[in-house]
Amino acid sequence: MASLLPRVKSRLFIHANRRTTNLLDGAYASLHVGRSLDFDDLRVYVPGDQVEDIDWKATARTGQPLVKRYLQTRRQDVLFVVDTGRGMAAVAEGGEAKRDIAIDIVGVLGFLSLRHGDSVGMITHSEGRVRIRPPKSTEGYLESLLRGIRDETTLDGEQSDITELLGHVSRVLRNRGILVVVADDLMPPDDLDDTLKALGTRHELLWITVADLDLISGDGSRRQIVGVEDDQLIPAIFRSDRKLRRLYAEAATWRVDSQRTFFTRLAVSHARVGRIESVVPTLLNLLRRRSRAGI
Amino acid sequence: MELVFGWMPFALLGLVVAAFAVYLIVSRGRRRRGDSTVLAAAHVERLFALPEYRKAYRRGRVLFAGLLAVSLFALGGLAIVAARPVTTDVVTTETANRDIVLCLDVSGSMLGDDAEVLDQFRAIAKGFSGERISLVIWNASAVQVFPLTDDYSYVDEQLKSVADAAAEADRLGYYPDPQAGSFDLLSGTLLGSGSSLIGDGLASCVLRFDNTESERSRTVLLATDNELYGDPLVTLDEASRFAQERKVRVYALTPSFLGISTPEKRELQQESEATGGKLFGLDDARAADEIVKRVLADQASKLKGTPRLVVTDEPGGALVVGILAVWLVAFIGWRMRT
Repeated sequence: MASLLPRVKSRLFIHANRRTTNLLDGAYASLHVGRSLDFDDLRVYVPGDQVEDIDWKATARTGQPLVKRYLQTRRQDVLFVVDTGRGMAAVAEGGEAKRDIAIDIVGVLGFLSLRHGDSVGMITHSEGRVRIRPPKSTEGYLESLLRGIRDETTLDGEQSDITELLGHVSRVLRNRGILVVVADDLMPPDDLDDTLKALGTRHELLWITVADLDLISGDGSRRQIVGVEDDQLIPAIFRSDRKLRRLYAEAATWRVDSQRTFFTRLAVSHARVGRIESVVPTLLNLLRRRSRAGI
Repeated sequence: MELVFGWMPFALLGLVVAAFAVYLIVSRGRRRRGDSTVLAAAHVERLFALPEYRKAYRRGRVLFAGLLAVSLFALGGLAIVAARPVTTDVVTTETANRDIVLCLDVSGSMLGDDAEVLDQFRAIAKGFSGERISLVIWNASAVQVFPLTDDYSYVDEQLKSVADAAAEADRLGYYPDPQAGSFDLLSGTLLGSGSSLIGDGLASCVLRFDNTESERSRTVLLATDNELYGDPLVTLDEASRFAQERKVRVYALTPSFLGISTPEKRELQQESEATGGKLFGLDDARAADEIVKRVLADQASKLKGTPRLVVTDEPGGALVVGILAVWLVAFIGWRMRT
């Protein structure tokens, strides 16, 4: 069985090496809002570092930009709440399985966390019960999380219910941590509001939506589209209906907009990923946004 | 109406059922979410919930029902065509009922009237259908221009060429050179002693009838002025009796420049009436109609061929329905794709 983590890592480094690997660290730091006050040492500035971390006096003395490094006070727990329902076994916007995109998301963020000394854990809902994988900080453990996503997400699995899963998380999770939700492309239900508010007060909350396939355009091939819910076929004649195509596109735009509005209102960092190759840029973009605007 | 391949519609029905069954089996396997030939997508109900989708769905269903109905028509029509609908008839062919020999005097005395006579002949020939016509020209001896035939276009063509030659001869005052392309009125007609040998001419014409043993209506149309120069082998009276013996009616046509009460013409009238015929003047406008009427009134006996079984394919209506339906299937199919 092929390992999942090396694939994610190579994708991450291919992206990062265009600038520098430290970029990842700089970006990842933004997961924690606030710094410890314990100064560690100075190091040479590299692009991607926070401007506010530059030690201007030291820079003036040495003639090259230096940034302050702080000692991390405490190891953080990064907890991934991953939807492994049947909807996640479907095809994503880019034509890959949504499951594979979820694996990449967890892989990238998990790997950055491990590099930073944090531990990673995962909560999923499978076979009728909530499954909690407590945080640990080895790459082997992260690999097993990724495999867990892969194995739990099947086309015959149960329908996702992210609200119930998050409700469970808010009831059982007491320790303060970072919560990364990897969810289906859903219209946020009304009862999600309170749950998210409750979770947001105690945890750093990131929400990453895995975007659905365009039901009219498909993935560019001529393959037929079948619903994962109950095998309903979308007859090809409707997919070539121009008016229907326009109305569907309007509805899809509206859906994306209301998702964004919903998460902005609740001050939850949100990103939308539809294809494998945009996982890394989208996540780094999200982290950078958090470091600047806090969301 | 019967079908040559009566089993064909059933075979086609079986084929359709088999094809449908295969389609069902194949499509059942292919239309599941786990299959690699389909894209499994989440939240398809978002598309189905669009009002426009429901409208398109209803429209598609109507189109599909139409397609199904038209396909049935196409299949049904083509099944019937494939089964070869035929009608069978027992046909006994009948050929000419009556034989008519046009018997034309081409002697010098008749030359001026021959063109007119031939025109009359052409008018008479037009009145017939199925009757066989022959043309014999004679002077001192008789020559058959064409034998008994019902090929009327050929008859008309021949009559016209002879008429042209006669008119040319009349205009020139002598018989035209056959090298120039006109019909040769002299060849074979001057082999006796004298000219205009009426009795010989009529007797020759009477001899032209074939199938002498069968009971048929036989008529000679004799065109002559009955002006005899020379020694005939047979007199007009003998020839007339020969005709009666052979049950041949003789109708006589004669130029009426001097009226038809001259002794020659009275003799002609007498002899023709003896055979059951009649004498007509050339200027008699009703002559052609009258002759046709009389000939047709004569009891015709038919020449019977062997009875034959004739099988006629009649795909007609089924083919039209089938082809139209196939077009419609193509049209609706195209509508559904766009």
